[in-house]
Amino acid sequence: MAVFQELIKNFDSIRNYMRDFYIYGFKVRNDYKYKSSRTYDNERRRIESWIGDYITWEQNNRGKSIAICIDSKKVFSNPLYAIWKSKSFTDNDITLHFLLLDILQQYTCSADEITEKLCKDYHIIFDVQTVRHKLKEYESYGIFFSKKEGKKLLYGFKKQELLQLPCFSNILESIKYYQETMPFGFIGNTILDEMQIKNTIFHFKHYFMVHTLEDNILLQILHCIKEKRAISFENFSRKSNRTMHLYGIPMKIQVSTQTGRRYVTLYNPKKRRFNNARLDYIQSIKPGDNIPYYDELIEKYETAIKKCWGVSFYSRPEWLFVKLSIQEGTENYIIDRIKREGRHGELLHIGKNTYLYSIESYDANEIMSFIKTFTGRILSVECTNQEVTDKFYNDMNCLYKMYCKNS
Amino acid sequence: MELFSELYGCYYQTVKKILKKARLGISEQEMKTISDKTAFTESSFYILPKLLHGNWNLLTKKEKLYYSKTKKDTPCYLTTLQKMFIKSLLNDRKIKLFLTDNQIQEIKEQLHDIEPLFSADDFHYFDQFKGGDPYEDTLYIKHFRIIHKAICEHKCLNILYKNNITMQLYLPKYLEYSAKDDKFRLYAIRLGKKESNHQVILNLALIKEVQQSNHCIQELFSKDSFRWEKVTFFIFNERNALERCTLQFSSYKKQIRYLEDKNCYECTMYYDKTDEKEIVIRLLSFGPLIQIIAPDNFVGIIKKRVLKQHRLLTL
Repeated sequence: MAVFQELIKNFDSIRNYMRDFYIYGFKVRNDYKYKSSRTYDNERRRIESWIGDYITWEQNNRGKSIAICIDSKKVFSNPLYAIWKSKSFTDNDITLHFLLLDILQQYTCSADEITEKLCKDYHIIFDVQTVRHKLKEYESYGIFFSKKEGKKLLYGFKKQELLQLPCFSNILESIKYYQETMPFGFIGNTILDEMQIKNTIFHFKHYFMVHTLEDNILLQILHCIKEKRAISFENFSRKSNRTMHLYGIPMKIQVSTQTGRRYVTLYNPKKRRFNNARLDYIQSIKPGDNIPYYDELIEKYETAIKKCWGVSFYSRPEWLFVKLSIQEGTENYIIDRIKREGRHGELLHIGKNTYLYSIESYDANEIMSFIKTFTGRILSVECTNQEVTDKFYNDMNCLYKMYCKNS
Repeated sequence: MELFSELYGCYYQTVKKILKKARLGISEQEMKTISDKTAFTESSFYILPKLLHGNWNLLTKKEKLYYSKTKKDTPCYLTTLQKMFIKSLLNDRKIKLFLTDNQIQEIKEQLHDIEPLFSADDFHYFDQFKGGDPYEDTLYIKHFRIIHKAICEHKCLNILYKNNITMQLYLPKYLEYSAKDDKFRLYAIRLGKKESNHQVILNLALIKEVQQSNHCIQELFSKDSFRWEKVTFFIFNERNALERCTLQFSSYKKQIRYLEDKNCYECTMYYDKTDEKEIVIRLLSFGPLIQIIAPDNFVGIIKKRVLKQHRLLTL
């Protein structure tokens, strides 16, 4: 029987569990159908070890549910970054890491000379091929450099000139902020770890910590965007519980600062239209061919996105008209809010204490969550898509029955 | 380019610290303390045997202490990936809050052979509010830097805010950033002679003037000066409401359980009292897919708006 290991080889194996513990937190052991119950137990134990301070349990008649509970306003650093700090390694990996750094910060030498030093000065025997392999690996990481001297290939520790700059402390101060706001923020967090400093200056509101779990997928997509390539990918929908194999040409990453979702906008050459795939649904990516007409697609995308409220691209735009009751003079803050949050819509003053918000969009249904935040002020809603209008009035009716009819 | 690597792992950081201490000798207990602080809860069960029994071959034992085999402290370094991340930051609008133009240029020259990890152009924040803070404005940058410095040094500030006529004395605690409205807010203690000291939240963009004060003061309040409230609501899992709601409110501490008899989920969410208006709006956006059930005052707010809405639509 395999002994439990705290560290992991494969990031993807634990990603879904961590996500579900954080987003849902009410599921019990039997609800996790990805793998076996034994796998659930192991992954649960790992996550508890990594971020135990943020784990809560509840026992109910269905079993024991585990939740990751974090209020983003109360932490200075994303606890979910622990997943990036959990890669397993061999004994040789860690031994060579520290001893090679020790040798090469003092000397520049060949793999053979290093192997000899390890034996003579540190009393450890390594095969020269193992040492050479590690040296090449660390060269690819940018930690060591190599240079030819005659027939010999010498290795040395790369000069850390950036760290010597007087303004490097300013960079670190900026990273205290950027580690939580930029894509791949966990990399900034590892820089702070290396310098052994922590953020005590910045807090973050409306912060979707769970985004870090998609960074592997995000990086692959960004590479393909940079190289103007198509992608094939496995898309597992939690809605339908099905995996589909899809293809598309990635254009841009769409980020919602309000809902927590991130998408990649793709062009589907067969259907000749844009659509979006959620980053958290994508399981794996395979880069495809370079697309010669990529720049034309970008132009098309830039035109189409102007009529998107969110992430829906349909063929025919819809018009939405919402009349609102806003007290002139005393409720200007509502007008300011609509201007701030109303995206490409227009607000007109059409009468005493009456305003009309109008907007053209591919999918008016996406806008209705925003419109419902004005509950209590809405005089009327009209839409060229009658379903949207009907749904709104039905929702208002349901709300009235829910709160007012039985009280 | 490998994101997931043992180089960034907490075990390597832990051993680095242990080796540094071990240059002058380190006990088993000290190793455990370092491991508990730096790595994971169970890590010392894995790290210590490997160090003590020689698997990792990094320590030698002399009497009761362990000494590092390394001749020098492990040097600090940045990998290419970390440099690529830093390079990406240099094109961000907010970098001038931290670096001058000359400093940015100096760093770009240092990283001339490094590609940025990502470009801001690759991302579209489609629902970010308009009217974010003016990060290129010289006065805003000046205020930000003064405030940042004061927080680092635990110094007080004199601030002229919004429509106030005179400057007030504040003890700045931290800066809060919101991606939703792209703004910084300063959480500070307002220090007054007659009135009691209390926590305030200031929009950085509305600060007219700020000066460092020579006034030094001990922290008067506990670190947690929030006034926490809770709201409980049902989530009816239609139109994917459960996933939408739990994801949207994932940045809040909450408890969720499934109510079999009602076929819905009950969510209790904890929030800062100052955020209450925002929470009301965000819960309203779900319409009848959620039903607020407690506390009474919260239900009252929703009920008032729903009743008013009903009257408007039935006029």
